[in-house]
Amino acid sequence: MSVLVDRLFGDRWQRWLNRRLPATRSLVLSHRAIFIVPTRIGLLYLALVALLLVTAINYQNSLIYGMAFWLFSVGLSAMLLTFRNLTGLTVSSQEAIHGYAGQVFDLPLRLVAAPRREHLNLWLQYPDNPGQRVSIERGSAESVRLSYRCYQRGYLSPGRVLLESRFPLGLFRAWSWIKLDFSTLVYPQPQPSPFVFRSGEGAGELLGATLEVRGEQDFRGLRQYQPGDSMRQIAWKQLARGKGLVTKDFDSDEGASCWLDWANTSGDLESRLSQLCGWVLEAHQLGWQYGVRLPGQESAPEHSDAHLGACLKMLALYQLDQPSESPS
Amino acid sequence: MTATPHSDHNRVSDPVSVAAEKPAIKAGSQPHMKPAARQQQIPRSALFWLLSGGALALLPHYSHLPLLFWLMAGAVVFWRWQMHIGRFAYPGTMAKVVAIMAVAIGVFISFSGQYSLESAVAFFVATCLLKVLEMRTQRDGYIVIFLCFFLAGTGFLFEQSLLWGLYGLLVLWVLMAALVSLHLVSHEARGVWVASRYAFGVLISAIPVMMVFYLLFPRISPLWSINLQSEKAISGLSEQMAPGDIASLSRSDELAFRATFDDGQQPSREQLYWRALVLDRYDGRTWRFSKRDQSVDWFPTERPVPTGTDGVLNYEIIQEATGKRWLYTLRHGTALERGIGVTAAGVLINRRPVYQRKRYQGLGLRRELVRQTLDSQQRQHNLDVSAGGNPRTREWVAGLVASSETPMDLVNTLIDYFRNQGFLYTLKPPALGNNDIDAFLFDTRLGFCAHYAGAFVYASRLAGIPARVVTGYQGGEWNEAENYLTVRQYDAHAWAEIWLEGTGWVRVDPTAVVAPDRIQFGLEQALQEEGSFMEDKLLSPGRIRQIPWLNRLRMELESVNYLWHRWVLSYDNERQKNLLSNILKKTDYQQLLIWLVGAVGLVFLVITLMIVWQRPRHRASPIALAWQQLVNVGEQQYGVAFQTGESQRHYLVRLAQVLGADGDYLLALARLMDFQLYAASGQQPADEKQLIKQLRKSRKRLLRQSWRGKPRSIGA
Repeated sequence: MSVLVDRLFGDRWQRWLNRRLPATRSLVLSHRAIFIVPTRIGLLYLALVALLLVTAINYQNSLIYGMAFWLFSVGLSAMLLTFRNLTGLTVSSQEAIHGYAGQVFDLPLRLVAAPRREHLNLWLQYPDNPGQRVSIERGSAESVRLSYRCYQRGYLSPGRVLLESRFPLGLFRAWSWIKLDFSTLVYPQPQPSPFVFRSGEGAGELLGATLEVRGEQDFRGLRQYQPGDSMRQIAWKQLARGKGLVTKDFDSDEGASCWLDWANTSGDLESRLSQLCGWVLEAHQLGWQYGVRLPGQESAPEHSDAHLGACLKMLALYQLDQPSESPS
Repeated sequence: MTATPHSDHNRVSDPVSVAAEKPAIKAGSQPHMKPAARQQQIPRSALFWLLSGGALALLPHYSHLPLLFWLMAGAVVFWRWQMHIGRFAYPGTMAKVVAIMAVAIGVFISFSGQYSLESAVAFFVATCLLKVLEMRTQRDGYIVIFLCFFLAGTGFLFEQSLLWGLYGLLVLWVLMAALVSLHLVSHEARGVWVASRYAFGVLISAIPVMMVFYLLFPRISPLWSINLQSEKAISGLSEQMAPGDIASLSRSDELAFRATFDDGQQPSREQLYWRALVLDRYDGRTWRFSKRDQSVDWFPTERPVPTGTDGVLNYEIIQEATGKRWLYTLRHGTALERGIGVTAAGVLINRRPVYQRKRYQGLGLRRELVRQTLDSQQRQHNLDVSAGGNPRTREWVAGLVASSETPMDLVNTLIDYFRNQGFLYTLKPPALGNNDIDAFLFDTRLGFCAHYAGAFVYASRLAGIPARVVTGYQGGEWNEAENYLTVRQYDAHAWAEIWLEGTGWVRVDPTAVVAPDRIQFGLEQALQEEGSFMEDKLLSPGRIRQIPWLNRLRMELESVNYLWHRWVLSYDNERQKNLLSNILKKTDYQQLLIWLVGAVGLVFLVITLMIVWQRPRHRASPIALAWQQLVNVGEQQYGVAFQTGESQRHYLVRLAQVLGADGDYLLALARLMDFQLYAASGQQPADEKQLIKQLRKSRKRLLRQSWRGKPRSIGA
């Protein structure tokens, strides 16, 4: 059905869907959002009812008449029940972990049952991705992690998710296309490549004691944990002894410091960003102080998990004006 | 705009077409889920419902399915269950072919290639069994369930009593539960309970529309004539009367028909001679009906139907299937409905054999109201005694004719002979020789209605009085509660009719003088001494009647059964018209259809409106609500809109920037929100109520600041 509509109307169908079901973080399914058509099995069922009716007429059998009418009426009720299985359901997007373009994201969706209702055997799927089956018991909520392979950097915009149900009799298929927003960042796909530092006016080169990059840095002491500290710096032994979260403070002043520069990359926009992303990750891994320089913006050299996040975000959103607006 | 391959990712379409557009991506990604690949296996709890539903649907076919089928069904269920618990493998192609061959041969042998309703149903049953064996996917499950529904439907062709009707409810429920359980995620433990609950709900909620359809859907006549009829032997009158035929019927307590009378009164038993067949041809052994009499006057008849006179008895009959064309009538009847005719002998006949229960109106006319004629050819025919020797009878009758003055005298003499010469009524008469009427009249003097009627008609004919044998039923059991008459097979009877000049055909029942109890009280009383009434049945009505409370219960059940027959099983075109003209004052089918469509449409309109009006209320969490209110103030008063994809912290920071130094409390709020929203599950989240309080407080403060004329819409 939707396939046909899609082929025939294409963009117009999408625009209509966008008007009818705009993107949100959370949506309560109402009759506006739900579509319903009989399935092939439903048509077979109708044929069964017709066969029973013909038998009843030809044999003038009241009980078979009754059975045919009852089954027909059950079919009508099934339409309402299938519809009801979706209405009132609240679907909301939750925060997913940031990741890189080309990877499969586990998108957490939260499904909350309508008051005093249950929603059984729902099928959730992003087109072209594996789907998942879930049942929501009366008055409860379920979280599902839906797989979605994303190829585009920026704010994750996975398009519409299919929410489908044929419960209880399989005679009708009720479904909705829900567009959910996520504030998840998709970083450029990291491309491993050797560092390129070009000496020049800007500090486009590796400075400092670079040779011992893999060596231990000077241990300065322990200090109170602050949000944003690297997990690798946490003194786990102390934590295990019950002394709370403490961070091992290293003297990194003498670590290498570098600028990862747009100018040192080559290729089109995406592959340049990919190279930069690879460098950022590598440099962070090596414990360097690194800065990123893009045309028009830069981030000064530093080494921290927060800095890593900021740099990756800069790369992810570079030249995307309206990060989460869907290109339609 | 970037040029990634997924730039059109917003276009959601079917996976196949997307894949066709981007083969490279598809090839590199994980195996995708196509709709076809979503084909589910049959959930575990569903198999239980499926197998029990199938078994229940099969049970009503007990009466006609050969033993072989029950063995086959048992084997299939056992095999399928073993597959389910993993002991047997699914049948391979070879096993399937062998199974199909075996079943086909089995059906053919069982029915020796005959084409009847039974063999057709048996073939259908075999198909179902094979499908059960090989079912594997959800789709197979659907097909098996639908086959079972049809199987349950065909079961009603064979069994229609109230109990089987109630049993049908059980079958429907179990099959519906099987259908529901196909859609349950298979590991759900409460699957069985959920399936039964939903099945019950869906059946109950479907009753109103079902009732509307049942009452209003036009009951049309069969679309095509069905040659596929049951070959099950139906007990009942046969088209001929040989000694012993009626005696075998007397051992059956099966229902023949039920009758109600328009005045609701029980006619006296002497009146209740239900005529079915007129037999006027005698071959020395057997009485048959002659084709000569088959000139049928079909409805609408030429004879006017008298109304409102004393001699008219109006009644309605619900007749069980006989597989024959004759109907029952009191006295002289006439056809009142299409498809029914009246023969020259004055009995009703149906255009088609009565394969299904039939309901019709009847009219009993007193003799004076019927103009009867007997032409010479007919007279000759009804005097024919060419067959059969019986020399002693011939001699005896010749003597009687000589000594009688009028035919009436002669008839009385004959009757007196039966009364006074030690005749006994018995269902176990001794065998008679070649000249059977001689042997009966002068030697054995033991017999039942067929003997008496046959001998009387034979003697009358010898005496020159046109006479014929009439078979049918006599009497019946009156139900006081519902005022109807039940006539069973053991009420079968035979009597005589003689032609008297100037009067017409007159009923004479020689059995009445031999065994007055047979007419007055019924067969049971007549046979009281002999004790042969229903002697081979353990729970015979006779034995039950001895126990008062059991008999009362029996009559109650009879009444319920009668109502079931009257209002459910024989709800037909005529009854539908009556009901509609009483309730809706409408009888036109066109209007009927309008009502039908209107009623269903109305139901759906109401439901649709309920859905539209009864919008699910958005029950946002208090935090989300408080946050939204704060954002609204921020947007309206300061022009800082919340961007999609923006974090709450980021927004608050932007807002604080607009406010400058006065906005520090917003940063504190941001920290609080971060803790609340992103606290790891192990950590103690910040107090929810406190956050809500802070949100509301901040909102108010924002509002106050805006009133005091703080800088506005810098960040716009």
